[in-house]
Amino acid sequence: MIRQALRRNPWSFLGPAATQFLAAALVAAALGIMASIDRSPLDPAARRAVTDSGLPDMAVVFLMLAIYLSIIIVGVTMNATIAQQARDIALVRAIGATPGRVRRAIAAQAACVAVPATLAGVPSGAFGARAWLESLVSHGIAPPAVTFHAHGGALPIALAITVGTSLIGALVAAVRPSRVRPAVALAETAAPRRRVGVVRTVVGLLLICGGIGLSAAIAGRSAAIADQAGLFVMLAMCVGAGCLGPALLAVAAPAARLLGDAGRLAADNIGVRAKALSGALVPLTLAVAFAAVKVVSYTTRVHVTGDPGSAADRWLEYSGTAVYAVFAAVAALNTLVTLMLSRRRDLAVTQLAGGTRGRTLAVIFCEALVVTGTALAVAAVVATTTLLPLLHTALGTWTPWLPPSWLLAGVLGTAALVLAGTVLPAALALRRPPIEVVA
Amino acid sequence: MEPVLELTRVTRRFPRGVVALRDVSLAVPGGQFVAVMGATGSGKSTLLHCAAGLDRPSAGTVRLAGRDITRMREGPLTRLRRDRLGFVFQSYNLLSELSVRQNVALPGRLGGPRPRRIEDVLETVGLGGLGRRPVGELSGGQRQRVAIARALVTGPAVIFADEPTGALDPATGGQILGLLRASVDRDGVTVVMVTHDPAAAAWSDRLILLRDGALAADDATPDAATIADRLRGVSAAVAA
Repeated sequence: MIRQALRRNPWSFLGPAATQFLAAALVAAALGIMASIDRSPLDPAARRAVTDSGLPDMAVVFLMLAIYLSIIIVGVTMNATIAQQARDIALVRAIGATPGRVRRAIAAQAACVAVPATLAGVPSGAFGARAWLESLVSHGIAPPAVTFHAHGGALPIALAITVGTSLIGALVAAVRPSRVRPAVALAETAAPRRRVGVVRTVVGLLLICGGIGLSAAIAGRSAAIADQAGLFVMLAMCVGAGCLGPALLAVAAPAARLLGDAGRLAADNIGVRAKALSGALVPLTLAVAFAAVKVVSYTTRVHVTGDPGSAADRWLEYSGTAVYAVFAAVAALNTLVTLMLSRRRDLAVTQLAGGTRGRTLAVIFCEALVVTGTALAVAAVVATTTLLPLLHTALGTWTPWLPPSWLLAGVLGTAALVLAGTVLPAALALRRPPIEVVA
Repeated sequence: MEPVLELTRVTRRFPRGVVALRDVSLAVPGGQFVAVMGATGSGKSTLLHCAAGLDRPSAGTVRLAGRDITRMREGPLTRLRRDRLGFVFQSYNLLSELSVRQNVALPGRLGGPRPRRIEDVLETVGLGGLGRRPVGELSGGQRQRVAIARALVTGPAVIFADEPTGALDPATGGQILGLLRASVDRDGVTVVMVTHDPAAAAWSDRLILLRDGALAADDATPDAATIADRLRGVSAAVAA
C-alpha cells in the first residue's frame, strides 16, 4: 500500500519533500553557524568583539527559529498531503486493513519521504552557512579568523526534527479516516464534515489571547525583554491563527460574493474547503508576518530616529528574514498546488457544466483573492501585536511606519504567490479535455 | 423542420489506428428521445461525445442547435454547451462537496441562461426541500436527480445522457428515465441516451444500434425483449 500510494501520487509528496529539504538545510545551517563561531581560533580580544557584536546571540535565535518554523511548516505540509489520501485510506480499511496497520503504513510513508529529503538538505545547508559566514567576513561583521566548521550533530538533529514532525503531521491527518468505520470514512471523503472543531477553536482563541496578553505585558518592560519575548508572541499568534484558519476563511468567504457570479461560486468553494485551505494560510501568514515585523521595525526606526544604521547590520537582518520568508512561502505554495491538483476532477466537472476556461479560471482567481486578503489581514494583526511592544520599548512610539510603495510591493508579492499556487496549476489542469479527466 | 442534431458522415479515429466511428450519419428532430445501443467498444460513447461537442470528429460534420460545431473554437463551443445542452453521466459528475442547490446553480454562475427558478426545477425532479443538503450525502438515485436538475435548469435544446442508470437499481433507474421521458413530452427537449440496458432503451422513441463503429440499425423503438434480441444480434456478430 505504501508503494502504491507513492507511485500513484509521486507529485503530491514533492511538497513535503521540498519543505523537509529546506527545513533540514535551515537547521544544519544554523547549527553550522553556531559551531563555526564557537570553534574558530580567535584571540581573546577578537572573541570578545564577536560576543559583543551579538553574533552568537543571533545564531541562537536563528537556530531556535529554524527549529520552530520547521516543526510548524513540515507538519502542516505533510498533514495536507496525507489528508488528500483520506479516500485511499478509507478504501484499504474497507478491504480489511486494521487501523494500526494503516497508521504504520502512513508513518512509513512519511519517513520514506523525510529521510532522503533531509539527507540532501543537511549538506546544502552547510554550503549555505559557509557562504553566509564568508559574506559576514567580507562585510566586516565577523573577523577573518571565523571560518566554517560543520556541526557534528547537524544530521541527527535535522533528522529528528523532520522525521518526527512529519510523523506527527501525517498521523494527525490519518487518525480520523483510519479509526472510524470504513463506510463513514468513505462517505466523509465525498462530503467532508464542515463543522469547525470546538477544541481547535478554543485552542486557537487561547493562543491568540495568550499572544496579545504577552504582547501587552512586555510592552511595559525593557527593550531587551521585549526583543526576546517578541518571537513567542509571534509564534503563539501564528499557531493560533492556524487553528482558527478554517473559521477565519469561512468568515472571509462571503466577501467574494461581491465579485459577481464567479465570486459566488468561489465563496461556496471556499466555504466547503476552508479546512484544507487553512493549511496554506499558516505558512502564508508566517511568511508575511515575519517579513513585515523585520521590515517595519527597520523602517519605523529610520522614520523616528532618522538613522539608517550600517549597511552591514541591515544586510544581516534582511538576509536572515529573507531565508525564513522564502521557506514559509515555498511551503504555502506547496500546499496550494497540492490542493489545486486534488481538484482536477472538480475543475473538469465545472467545465462540463458549461464553464469556459476563462470563467473557470475567474472562479479560481476569486478564491485566490479571498485567501490573499485573509492571509494579509491575519498577518497584519500578528505583525502589529508583535511589533507594538518592540517599537514602544525601543523607540517610545506606538505607530509603525512603512513607506506606501513597500506596502504595495508586499501586497502584490503575496497575491502573486497565491496566484502562482492556484491559478497557474488550474490553468495547466484545464488544458486537458474535461471528458478525459472525469472518465 | 431543421433537425436539432445532425451528424453527416462522422468518422473518429484514435491514435494507433483505432477507428471508433465510421461514416455515421444521423438526424434527430426536436422533441425526440433517442437511445444509442451497442456492444462494449462499439463506439456508443464516442458518438455521444462527438455529437455533444466534447470530442471532435476526424472527418464529417456535426450540426447542433442550428450551428456547425465541427470547427468551432473551444470558447464558443463551451458557451453553446452551457446554453443549449445538458449532460447526465453514469458517474453523476457533480461537485460532491457543494449542496444540491449550489450544483444546480452552477450553469447560471458560469454565465449560462436562467430561464427557470432553481426551486421549481428541484420540485420537478422530486428533490423539493433537499436544496441545502451536500450532494455527497445523497443516494445514487438522488444524485442523478440533481444531475438532471442541473441539465434542465438552463432550458436546454438537447440532453445527452451517458448510461444514466448504469449505477442504479432497476426501480430507481426507472424513476430517472421517467424524468427524462417527462422532459421530452412536457418541455419538448431532445434526449440522446447511450445505454446497454434494453429496459432503459425501451423508454425511448427511436433506437440506434452501433456495430464496430458503424450504424447497424435505426428504427422506432420496439419493446424491451425485442431490443435485447437485436442487441444480442449485433454483439454476436462482433464476437463471431
